[in-house]
Order: sequence, then structure tokens, then C-alpha cells
Amino acid sequence: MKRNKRVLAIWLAAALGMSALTGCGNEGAGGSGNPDTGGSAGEKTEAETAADTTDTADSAETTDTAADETPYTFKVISENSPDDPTSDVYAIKLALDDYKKEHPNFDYEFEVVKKYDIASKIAILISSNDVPDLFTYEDGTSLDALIERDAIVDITEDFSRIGVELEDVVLPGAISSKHVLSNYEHMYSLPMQLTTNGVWYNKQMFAEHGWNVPTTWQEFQDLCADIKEAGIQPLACNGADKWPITRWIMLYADRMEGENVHLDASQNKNGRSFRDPIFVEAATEAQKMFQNGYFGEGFNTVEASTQYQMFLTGQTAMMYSGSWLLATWTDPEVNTLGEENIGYFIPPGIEGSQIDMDHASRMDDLSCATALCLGKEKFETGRTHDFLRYLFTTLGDRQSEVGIMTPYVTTEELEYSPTQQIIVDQLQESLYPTLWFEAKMDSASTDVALENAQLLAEGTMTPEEYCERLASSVDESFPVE
Amino acid sequence: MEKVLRDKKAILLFMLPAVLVYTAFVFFPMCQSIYFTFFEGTPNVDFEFVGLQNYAKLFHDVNFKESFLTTMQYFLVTGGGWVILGLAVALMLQYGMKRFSNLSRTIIYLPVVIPGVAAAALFSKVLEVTPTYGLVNSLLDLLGLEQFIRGWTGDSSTAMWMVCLVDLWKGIGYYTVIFYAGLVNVPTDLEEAARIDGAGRLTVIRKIVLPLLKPVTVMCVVLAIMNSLKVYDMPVVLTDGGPGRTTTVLSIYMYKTAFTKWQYGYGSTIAVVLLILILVLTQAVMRFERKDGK
Repeated sequence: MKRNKRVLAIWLAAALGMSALTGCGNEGAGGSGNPDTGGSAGEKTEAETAADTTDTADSAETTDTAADETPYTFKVISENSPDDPTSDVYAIKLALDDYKKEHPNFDYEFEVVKKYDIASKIAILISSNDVPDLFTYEDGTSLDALIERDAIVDITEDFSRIGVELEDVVLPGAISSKHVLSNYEHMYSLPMQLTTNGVWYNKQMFAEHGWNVPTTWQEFQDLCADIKEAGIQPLACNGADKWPITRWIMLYADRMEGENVHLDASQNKNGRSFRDPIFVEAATEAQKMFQNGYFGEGFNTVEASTQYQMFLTGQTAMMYSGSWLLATWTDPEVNTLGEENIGYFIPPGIEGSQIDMDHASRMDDLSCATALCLGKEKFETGRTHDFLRYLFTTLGDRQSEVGIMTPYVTTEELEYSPTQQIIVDQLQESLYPTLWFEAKMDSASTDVALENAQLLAEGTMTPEEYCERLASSVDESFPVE
Repeated sequence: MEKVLRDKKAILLFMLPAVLVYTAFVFFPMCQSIYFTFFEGTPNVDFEFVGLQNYAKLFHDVNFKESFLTTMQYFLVTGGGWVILGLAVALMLQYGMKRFSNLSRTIIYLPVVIPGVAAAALFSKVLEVTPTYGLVNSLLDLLGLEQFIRGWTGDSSTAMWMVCLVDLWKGIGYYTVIFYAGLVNVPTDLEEAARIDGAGRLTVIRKIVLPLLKPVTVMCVVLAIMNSLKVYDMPVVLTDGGPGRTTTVLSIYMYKTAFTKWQYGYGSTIAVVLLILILVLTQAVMRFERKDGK
């Protein structure tokens, strides 16, 4: 009897234990489930350990052999879907697919994470020693946290270990832009695309109503008023993403006092601060535009996809956005307006300001704002060098084919579509490049700038309070001596 | 079987696996989180001992105070609403809609099984104003109430109320079902005796039913406290903590502090504050119940 009791107890305990553990089994986002392909956080597989003991980065032949012989899953995290032909990572997916055909033991996993969640995702992966092979991240000061934690590859120092020099695959302008963005001497990320930002407008609508591209800031305000009076929403704005709101503060301030004024204020440099009257004036002007209804109702709830839809379906006359939309404009299935109906201009200068009109028209938020980072731990194993060499030597051509303004060297003769030509011409005109409003802010100040932007736009926060909160936050990270 | 279950060793053996799993995945991380509150930085990378600095920071942190007040608003509106309205609906099902009770219970419980993300996505469209009016704004337009049309989740004066109401709608069925289960267990002979003595329906409910329902009510209050204070998914999906910080509850603030600002120590401190808040409130409820019982 006692023995039966014991046996029964053991069986019941085992059943209880199995049911308790059922809920714990989880592949996890991006987890592979294949024990041979390095799916476990912080643990090396047999294949990775074997790769470590070989002569890694310096021998392309050995790397090729290692990549062919042992299975490997290349992990990518990005904010955009790789299956969307208009996305900036689509070209990377094409490269992965082509490489996989030639290397059957090479596999890949793509995880899509919302832009503002990528930082938290990467933070968790750093703590668990499982930084992906390749991921997109916000460039500028945001990247400093990853550099300080030695989580990403020093591109300047180590890129050549894949078997090709950086200067042979990345355009000089893009490399310069990266150095301007970085707070360090070395480059720690690669560019995704070369972008310029401006106002896209509906040419057909403008022609029908007799509206002209404005040549001064005041003309631009008058144009918006005229469009609104005609019963059309002047501008589409993805206020839910917050950054489009602060962009109008930056545009005004830069056109009054120069393209570096907001960058200096972001770090209390050269005697600049967000308390300066120019920023209060700029915040006031930006608030006025939103309060005047130039961005329609409910702008704080509009996301980027809705913004594009509103513009392409003729619900708005204009929208402020970047040249990353080129892939969208060149896709006839998505661009129902037609490429020939889309025009582009840089917000014009302000009469009577320190900056003349010509200077203002050549001032551009020109950047490779999304960083493409290589996870250091996995890079050091050398397992991915062969693929990375393949990727970066073909990325320029692939991006051009899908309509993205590529910062990589291309080998094929390029034939530009009408909107691509507009951007190419604009890039050549840009003499005074700058960076976006939050580019040089620390993370806390970036939060303050973005979080309060919606309150400023809807009128519940005064421009003075907005600037004071921002300045106080900057003072904490960059105390004025 | 009865002999087996009376054996303390057998009981311990059955509980052991679950206790081990609970210890490994709940209790240990909780203790680790408390340990983190005395450090700052990123674990395994640059974690430094800072003593009680993180706790001192709470008193000066304006963002923490704002998030605390936002969480309290959610607790009172949604948490309180779950209990009060859950009880009201259960009473209505038991005394007012007995004929359609099964169907009504199913309909009322349906929102509970909808994933939070799906409910938030649904209500984003219902409350929409751009590019087209959602259901609410369309109705207001139809009724000639254009002055009330707005972006309900994008307006700082209404965003938090929307989060509260959507979660209230979603969770009310859960508490209704619990209250209903308590109501059906109230002895009917007591109610009959009260009616014979001339008590009206409301008096029966007030003097007989509610006092007998007290244990269930206490359980629902405790559940409401826990569920409302640790809310995360609804404000994140519906408003992402905005506009501004108007819907940034403590759990969102904790998450952003740890994972976007790399302040794991301070983020853990906020988590400990939440834990203490939940413990204090639930203990207050339990003490009140015991005092009343005496």
C-alpha cells in the first residue's frame, strides 16, 4: 500500500510538473528553435565554438568553408518589414535570399520591431549577450549607449575584416555624414540610405487651383491658408510619431539663424540654449501652424502610413517627409497619384532673417538617419564575414533597383525616375547640410522634445514652457560652465 | 486518493514542481529586481552600486509624480468601475434578466477574451477623426454635435479617459462573472424569509445579499487593485503613453526608464514602488474586511 502510494505520488507530481512547465516553453521573438543555429541567448552552439577556434576574420577561404560546412542563422532586427518592396530593408532581404540559394546551410531570421521599441529590444539583447548580427537603430546620440557598451562593431577599425574596404563600398558623402552624426572619431554604423527632407506636393492639385511653389516662408503660410480656404487640408502630418512636429521648430529656427543653431542648443554649445528667444519664436510659429488647422484634425493620432495615404489619395495638398519615400513613389501599385504628379520643394527662407534665401534653399536635413549596426559578438566569430562582403558589395545596385537613394557604390548605369531625379538634383544643390532636431540631444532631452511636442502642437503647452523644459533637460546633461 | 492527499509529504511533492517554477520565474526575478534598485547602469555591462540614490530620486522626479497620478486616475476610474459596474451588472443578471441570463453572460464576457491589442486597435478606429470619422465622431456628426468631434485619443484632455473607458469595457465581464457566481450561491431561503417579512427587492439586496457577498467583493477589489495598477498594454497600444505623457502610467514609465534610457536600477525602483503600492492597498482591503467581520 505504502509503495503504491509512493508510486502514485511520483506519477502525479511528474504530471503536475509537466503541466507547470508547459507555459514556459517559448521560442521567443526571433528564436530559432533549431539547436544547431545559435538560438539560445548567451550560449554558443557547437558550430560557433568551432568557428571561434579557426582563424576567423583574416581568411576569407576559411570563412567560406566555415559558412558552407556548418549551419548558421543570420539574425536581423529592423523597424520596417523586409517583405514590403518599398521598405529600406527589402534590398537586404533580397541579398539574404540570393546568398542562401548558393549556401544551403545559411539561413536568416528577420524580426520587425517598432522604431521606438528597438532601443528597448536591443537593451534586453545586450544584457543577455544576444545582440543580432545586423539591426537598424536611430543614429546620432542614441547610438552612444551601444558604443559605450561595446555592443557594436567599430566600422572604421574592423569593417575591412570582411574582405573589402569601407571606402570601396560606401559613398564619400555618406561616410562624411556619418562622421558629422557621430560623437566619436570612428564610425560605428553604416548608412541605410541617403535622405533629404522637404515638402512633397500634389502638382495636379496646385495646377488646378493656380497655386505656386512658395519662395518665402510668408508665402508658404499664405499658401497653406489658401489651401485651407479651398476646403482642402494643406499638409498631412504623422503627429503620432512626434518628430514631424519638432521638425517645424527646427525649420523656422534654422532659417532665422543658421543650420547649426539647434545642434548647438542641443549641447549648450557656442552660447546657445533652447531658452534663446529664437526657439520660443520658432515654437510659437510651429504651434500657430497646427492651431490654424494646416495639419487637419487629430494630427496627434496620424501615423506615417495614414499620412502617405492621405497625400496619395488627394486628401491633402502637401506633406513634409523624406526621400525614403522614393521607393513608394516609384511603385505604381502604391502611388495612385502618379510620379509625374508629385513635386518637391525645400521649405523656403524667411525674409528679413540673418539667412538669405539662397542659403535657406540649400539648407537640408541631409543624413543617413537610420543606422545599420553590426552586432559585435557575432561579428567576432567570423561566421558572417563572407555574407557581409556579399551584401555590401551588391547593396548599392540592389537599393537603386528598388528606388532607394543609395549611399553605397553602384556598378550599374542608373536611370532615374522623375522623383528620383528631383532628389538627385536636390542632393547636388545642398550646400548647407544639417541634422534633424534631436540628432545631438541626449536620450532624456530627446524624450522631452518629442513627448511635449504633441502638447505644444495641440496648444496645451505654451512655447515658453516647451523651450524651458527642453533647456532644463539639456542643462542636466550638458551643464553650462 | 483521500489518504494520499492527506499525506503532507505527498502534498509537498505535488506542489514542488510548481513552487520551483514559481520561484525561478517569479520570485527570483522579483528579488533580483529589488537587488537592482541599489545599482545603476546596465546589468552585466556597467552596473554600479549607488545605495539608496534611486529611492531618493523618486521624490524629485516630476515624471514619476505625473505617472503616479495618471496611474491613480486609472485605478479609481477603471479599477473602481470594474467592481461597481461588475456588481451592478451581476445583480441585473440575477434579479432583472433571469430569462436571458446565459446569453447575456456570454455577451458581457466576450470582450474579456478579445486580446488587449485587438481591443485597442478596434477602438483606435472607433475613436478616429483622421483620415475619416470613426464610429463615435460619425454619430456626433449625424446628431449635429460637431463641436464635440475630436481626436479622442490624440487630445490630452480626453486621451486618458478613453484608455480608462476602453479597459473598463473590456474587463467588466470578468468581474461580472465572479460576482454572478457569488450571487447564485446566496441561500434563497434567506431572501424568501426577508420578503415574507415585507422587505422590498432593494432592501433584500442591500441587507441580505450584499453582506453575504462580502468575501467575493473583497476578492474582486483585490483583483481590481492588482490589474489596474499594473496596466500596460492598453495605454501602450492605444496612445503609446501620449499625447505628451498624459497616458504614461507607472508601468510604461518603468519600462521606458529601464529599456530606452538604460537605467535598469531606477526602472527597478519604480517596479518596487508599484509592488509596495499593490501590497499596501490589498492589505488595507483585507484589514478592513477583517475588522468588519469582527
